[in-house]
Formats: sequence, structure tokens, C-alpha cells
Amino acid sequence: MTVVTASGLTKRYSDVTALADVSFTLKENTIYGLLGRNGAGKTTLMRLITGQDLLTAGTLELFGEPPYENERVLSNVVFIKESQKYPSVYKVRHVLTVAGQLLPNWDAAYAQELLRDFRLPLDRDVRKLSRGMLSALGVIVGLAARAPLTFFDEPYLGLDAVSRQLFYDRLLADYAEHPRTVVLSTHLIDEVSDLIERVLLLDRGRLLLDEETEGLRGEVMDATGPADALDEFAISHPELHRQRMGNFARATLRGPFDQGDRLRAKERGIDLEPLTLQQAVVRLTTVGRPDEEKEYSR
Amino acid sequence: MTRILAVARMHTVAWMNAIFWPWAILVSSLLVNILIFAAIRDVVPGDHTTGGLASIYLVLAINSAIATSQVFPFALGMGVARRTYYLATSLLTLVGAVAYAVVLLLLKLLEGATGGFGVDLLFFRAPFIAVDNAFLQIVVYAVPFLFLNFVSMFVALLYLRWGTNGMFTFSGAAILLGGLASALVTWRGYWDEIGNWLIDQPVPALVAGYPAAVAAIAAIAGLGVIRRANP
Repeated sequence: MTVVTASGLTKRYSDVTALADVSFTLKENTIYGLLGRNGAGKTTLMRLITGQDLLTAGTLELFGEPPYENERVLSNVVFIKESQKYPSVYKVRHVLTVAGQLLPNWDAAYAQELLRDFRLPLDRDVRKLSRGMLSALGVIVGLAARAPLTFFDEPYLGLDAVSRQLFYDRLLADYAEHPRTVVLSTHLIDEVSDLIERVLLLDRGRLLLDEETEGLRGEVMDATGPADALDEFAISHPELHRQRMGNFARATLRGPFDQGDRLRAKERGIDLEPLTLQQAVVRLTTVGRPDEEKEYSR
Repeated sequence: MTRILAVARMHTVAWMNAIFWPWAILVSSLLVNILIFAAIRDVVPGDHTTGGLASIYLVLAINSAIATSQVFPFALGMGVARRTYYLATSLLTLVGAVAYAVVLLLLKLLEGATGGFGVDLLFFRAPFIAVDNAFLQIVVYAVPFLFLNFVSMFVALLYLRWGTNGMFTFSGAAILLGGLASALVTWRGYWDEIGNWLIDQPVPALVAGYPAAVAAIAAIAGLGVIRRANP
């Protein structure tokens, strides 16, 4: 079943185009990674899908209906924002009480379990929580909500490495038992690359990539070898980046690469090596901007 | 309906602000008034009128603005529609105003029975707000809650939808219109007529009827603003 259908989705704020003609679908029971640099349009996209903002152009369907002010479909969604603010008079337990009443699939026992895992004090005022504890509270609400569509917008801010791992482990375990659609917007791409099944990559408001994570792994390669041979080999593939080291050079190339390509590389003494998801994203989103490329290749 | 109750619960779940503090501040205001008038009673005999009752109205109006700016964005993140949030909050405001008015009526009766808490105090019976009919008295106590809370919520919504510019544009326009109106009245020499008209109005219309009309306008205008508010 399709959870979200977007076509030609465009969002303009007075003079900024935050999203330009974005089309994609989100399928049920899949974990998506929504990736992209700061200002790429990730949060805007999530705000539109969760009915928090109006679109400028295009069509958007959430469970088959337009989401804005549509409680029937919005009750299937939970959106955990990086900057989520809670009413300042609330304690942690008030947030959980309210979430329990508003979210139809809320699992209170699971929330208690997560509370212990993340060592969050139930009677602490939310405005006295540290940055990491605030993020942990968001993670707990997002997981225990068991919403058919869950958005995590950079949920890890201030979380220590142990808690982040705990989040990934808990998400995966709970997802196995209660499959649902999860959209994870994050900058810590390597940390989640084993978690996400499909990548949506936004760059300057455009959808650059919508692919299976598995398929993407061999899609962007570093080719290293003698500069002349590399020139010849690289001609058949879009080049994202190049570095020279004396007679040798390394080029980041975009595939697909078939058996023939691999053979040709081997004949010319060129070493083909797949990039990690994070490196691939960095290369894909810095193309055509030499000034920024320099910054990244340092 | 359960959804509306659940959203209303967002306002009362941390009840300190909605219930405890307004009454705590009212009681402290009452105590201070009793003490002061007990001290000067021999020097200034007669009834002692005080405006301390205004404290509970102001505290709740401020609460209303704070709740709008904090609870509403949180509710949106939990998948609550703007309409539902506004309906639940308005119903709670209405029920709260009546409930608080009933408590104020009981306190008024207590004040009457104890000779103004023993110091001839007119705290709950200040001139203008005291009426004889108990039902009417509840209305007179309740309407200022509605008036202040809905206006305060409306201004907070202006801020959420259009930021400080929107809020100040509205306040500026209100001041300008009011100023122009009074300039016009002064120029044409209408003040006497207006004064006479006000004197001719019955007390319930002045303290309940007209403010209730303004509250209703603010409530409807608030619904219009919140439907496209994207904080």
C-alpha cells in the first residue's frame, strides 16, 4: 500500500523555493532515510506531509487524502522534530500522558520500558531537561506511538553514542515486531546506513535520488589508477569528483557499473571501490560547486 | 468527542498553571486587602471597595496567551487538526469561565455573610459587578473571563501566524482606529451624548452583554486565524 504520494510538490516562501517539483511515493512498512544538506528542504517536506504547512503547487496525498487539517489521516502520523518544544509547565510524565491520549496506537508499557532504557526521570520539568534528554523524550514518544507513519527529524541532537545506538537498536527491534513506515532525516548517514532501506536525497529543494540503499552501494565508486588510464575509463561515467596525486588520480564516478566496466577497469590497472553511503551523499550533493568541493576534499 | 476531551486535557494535565496559580494569587490578593483594611479600619470607616478581583482575570488571560503559543504547536506535532484544537480550547475556556464564576459567587455569598470578611470589604461585591440575581451574577463574573481569554488567544494567534509584524500591525491599527474615533468624537463634541448613552445602559449590558459580544467576535476571528496558522 502507498502511504504518501507526492507529485510536482513545490513550496515557496516569499523569495525562497524550499521544494521544487518533487515527486515520490512512500510505501508501507519501509524505513526511509531522508538525506540532504542543511537547507535542502527536508524539514519543509516533512512539514507538508504532516499537514503543518500548505503547499504552493503540486499534489500530496497521505493515506489517499490531502493531509492539511485532515485529522482522519493525520492521526496515523507522528512527527518528532529536532526542535520540538513542549509546554513549559509540563513534566516528562505529562508529555507521555498527552501522547497516550492523542495517539491511537500508543503503547504505555513500551514507553515505560524506553524511559528506563534512556534513564529519563519521569518527574523532571521538560524545560529542565538537557538537550540530550529532550531528544530522548522525542525518541520515546516517536517509538511508543507505533504510528503507521513516523517521522524523526534529526532526533539524535545531544544524544550520546550509547543512546543513539540504543535508539537504532530499539527502532529496528520494534520495527520487526510492529512493521510501519519510518522516515529518518539525519546527517549521521553512516550510523543509519544499515537501518534505512531506501534513500531519498534532497538537494536545494530538488529530489536528487530515490533509490534502494542496497542498489546505491555499488552505484557510486572511487576509481583509482594511472591518470591517463583513468581519463579513458572515466569518460563513460558521470564524474562527481577528482583528485590528482602525481601520475595517479582518483575519480568518483557514478554508475551503474556492469561486469564489462569492472573488466575494463581491471585491464587498465584501475581499482574500483564502492563509497560508503555517507561519502556517496557528500559527493552527489557537492557536484558543480567547485568552491564547496574544495572544502570537502580537504 | 473523545478527541476533543483529549485535546482539552492538554491544557489541564499540568494543572498548576490553569487552576492552582490563578486562585493562589486571588487568595493572596484577598488576604492583603483584608489585612490593609483591618489596619486602617478605625481611621477610614465605611465600606472598603477594592479591585483585587481583577488579579484572577489577568492571570488567566496571560495563561491563555502562553497556552496558545506553547500547547498549540505541540498539538499539531501530535496530529491534532487546528479546528479540533480550537474547538477543544474554546469549550474548555467556556466551561472554565462558568465554573470559576460559580466559585466566585460562593465567595461573594461568604463575603456578604461575614460582613465583608469582618472589615466591610467589597472584594467580590465591588460596585458595577455586584448584581442581586444569582444567575445574572454568574454571567457577570463569567463574561470578563471569556472576553479577556478570547482576545488574548486571538492576539497570540496573530503572533503565531504572522509573527511580531502581524501582532504589532494589528495593535497599531487598533490604536489608530481608536484614536481617530476619539478625535472625531471630540471634534464633533459627542462626548456628552456618549456619556448619557452609557449611563442609560443597564449594568448587565455594560459588564456582560457588550464584552460577551466582543468575546464572540474575537473567538470567531481566532478560528479564522488559526485555520492557516503554521507555527
